[in-house]
Amino acid sequence: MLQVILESYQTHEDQLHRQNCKLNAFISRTSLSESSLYPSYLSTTNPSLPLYGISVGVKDNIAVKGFPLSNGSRIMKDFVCPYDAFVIQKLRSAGAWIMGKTNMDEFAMGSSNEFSAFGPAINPHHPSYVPGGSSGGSAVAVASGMCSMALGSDTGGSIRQPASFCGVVGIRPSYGLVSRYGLSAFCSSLDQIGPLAKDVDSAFKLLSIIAGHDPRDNSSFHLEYEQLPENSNVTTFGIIKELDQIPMKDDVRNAYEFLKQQLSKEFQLKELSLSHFKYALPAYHVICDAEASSNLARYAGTHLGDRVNSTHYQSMLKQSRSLLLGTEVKRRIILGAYFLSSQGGQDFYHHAINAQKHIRIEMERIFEKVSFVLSPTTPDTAFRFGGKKDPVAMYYSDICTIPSSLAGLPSISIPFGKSREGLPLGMQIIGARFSEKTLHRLAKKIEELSLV
Amino acid sequence: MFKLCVGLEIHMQLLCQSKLFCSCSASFSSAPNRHICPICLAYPGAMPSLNHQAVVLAVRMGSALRAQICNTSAFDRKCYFYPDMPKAYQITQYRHPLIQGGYLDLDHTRIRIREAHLEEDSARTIHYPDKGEIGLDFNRAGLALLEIVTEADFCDASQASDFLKKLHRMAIDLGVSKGKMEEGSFRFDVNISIIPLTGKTQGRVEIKNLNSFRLLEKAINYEKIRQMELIENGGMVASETRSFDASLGITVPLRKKDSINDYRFLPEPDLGTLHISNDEIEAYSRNEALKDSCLEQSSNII
Repeated sequence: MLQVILESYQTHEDQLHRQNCKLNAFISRTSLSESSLYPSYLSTTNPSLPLYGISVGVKDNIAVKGFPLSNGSRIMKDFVCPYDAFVIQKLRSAGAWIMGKTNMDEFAMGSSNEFSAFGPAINPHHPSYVPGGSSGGSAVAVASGMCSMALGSDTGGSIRQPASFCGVVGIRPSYGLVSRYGLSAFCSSLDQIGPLAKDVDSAFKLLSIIAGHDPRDNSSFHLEYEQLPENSNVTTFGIIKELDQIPMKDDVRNAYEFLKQQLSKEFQLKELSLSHFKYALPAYHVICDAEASSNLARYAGTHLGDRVNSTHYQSMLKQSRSLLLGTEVKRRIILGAYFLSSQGGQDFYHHAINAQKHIRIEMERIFEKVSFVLSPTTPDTAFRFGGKKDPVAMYYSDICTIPSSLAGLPSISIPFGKSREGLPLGMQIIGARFSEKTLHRLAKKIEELSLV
Repeated sequence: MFKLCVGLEIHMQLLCQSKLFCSCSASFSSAPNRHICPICLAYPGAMPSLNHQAVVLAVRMGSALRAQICNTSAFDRKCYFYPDMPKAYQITQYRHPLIQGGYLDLDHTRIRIREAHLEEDSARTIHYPDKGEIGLDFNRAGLALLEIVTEADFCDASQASDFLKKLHRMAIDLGVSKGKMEEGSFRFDVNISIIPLTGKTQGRVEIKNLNSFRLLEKAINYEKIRQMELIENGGMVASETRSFDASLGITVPLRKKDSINDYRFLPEPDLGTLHISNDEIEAYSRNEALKDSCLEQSSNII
């Protein structure tokens, strides 16, 4: 048994050594994750623990004591984190081995990994294609076998979209199931930590470990994974009409239609309307940018983050943030500050919150009628580097994943075949809040169908 | 003919064992940066948890002021850049304060309270002019403050000072605040304006961070004369923030109000609504000892 674990670890370690210089999935490993320490870690860890020997990659916006917490940003590249996030405490007590910190779009803002200050991670299926984002490094690390599993964070699709682009499983849990304590805040009311893994069972195994109540996160629910309800009587799948009608790449459309057809043999497929769908993307960006503008204000060069020295506070602040933050991050901070400003901007924020409320209510009604909702994870497969220069085109990449984010619902991306160019496709199932256990069963079903 | 209008904003540090949103000690330490943690340093990922003891003390003070204690209140982010604000926003209660209304009677006048709310204190800045540097002491960052805002009901300096003395005494007697002005645990801002009985409405001047009753009286009296002379000479009083220079006995401008800070308030997503039942309000007001077990934070999750 020990031999198997050691060999499996060695495979990951070899893969990382060979591939990381090309794929750029891991951006930091410290003396704490040195492979020479692995045997002593094994000998001092209880072998009956659920993640004994399992190597886990951690997105670089999650606090791990003794590791950098760069958030993919230049401004935080020298910051070494003095504490563990709740999920890391959970991983440690489950016996896991932390492999290192993975690449990401700066402060989790992006859908291609091109906005990382450390250079982008590369899609292991084709070197000219993006891995997706923002948890691109975690998806690449898992897809290329550099670790068994990884943690990512999902605000509008940042786990599911790269999982889909790289051909791995990615779960966005229900809002409140996994504590955010130790996750650098981007949009606090939407951020969630979730797992990425090669297969559905592994992903849910990791989820079952990191889930659970944490008194330090006020939005954390009083619920442990074991206590989640299970619905054994799933009969209907919902198709959201507005989502069904968006333009999709042919290969995505074909795979999606094929899956619908397969599922219709066993389940009733019901078409439903989400009339506020068209507001989802703009509302999401207004809420995110507004919250981000306050969450990222702390990186000011005083006690957090690097600085450009100057004789006056205001010019130090201005120069540090201008120089050390990336273009996309600055774009969103400026927009967010405008959305909250008293000069007319505030209307945007209130309208966006209102739209979110409507979407949430409508989604709840949908789940009174169907057990799950099916859609592709993205309307497109991975695109080429530099392929989406227009920010709005990039934002559109999250069109399928944003509705469940806004409604706080669990959703999963499952690999489902490949495109003609050999790029992975992903299908998404959205469930009612805290339906993860049932979601697991259905995701398995889709995983099996994908192998047909 | 003129009428002097004075209002006060009082910041009192609440007598809690720990800070408002973390478990760091709230005791005074002259050595800098002894009581700090990832939460009060605003390290990425650290999240606030409300210290319920602060709520108890605020309710006790509010009840003593005959105010309405709101069953639901909420927190907001007040965003601005300043080196003493580690998150670059202050968590305060802007839209839904915990305490509304109330009053305190002086000998011949009733001073109305507009509202009072919980908020966190900022870090202390230490100036090193010879080195051209500023040091930051985060011991104070995140301490629980109760800000009490009065209506502009004072018509002279001695009234304002009498009110403060009485409030200060109450806060100490109720065990709500240490009230140590030399440590900054009881400090106040004053708003002063002159209403001419005829003629144009004048601007309002705010004097920040006073920490003695004597200075308060001096500052008000100085401002009253300065503003009256301005108006009598045909000038206008500008709305601005000024500071009182105790050594010269004068007020000097800090910043103009027309470049008013836009604080870009945002509902705090990391803290739920604060719910307090009538039973809790009654218990806290009766000056009951804190029962640890029943002081779990009660907050809803949307």
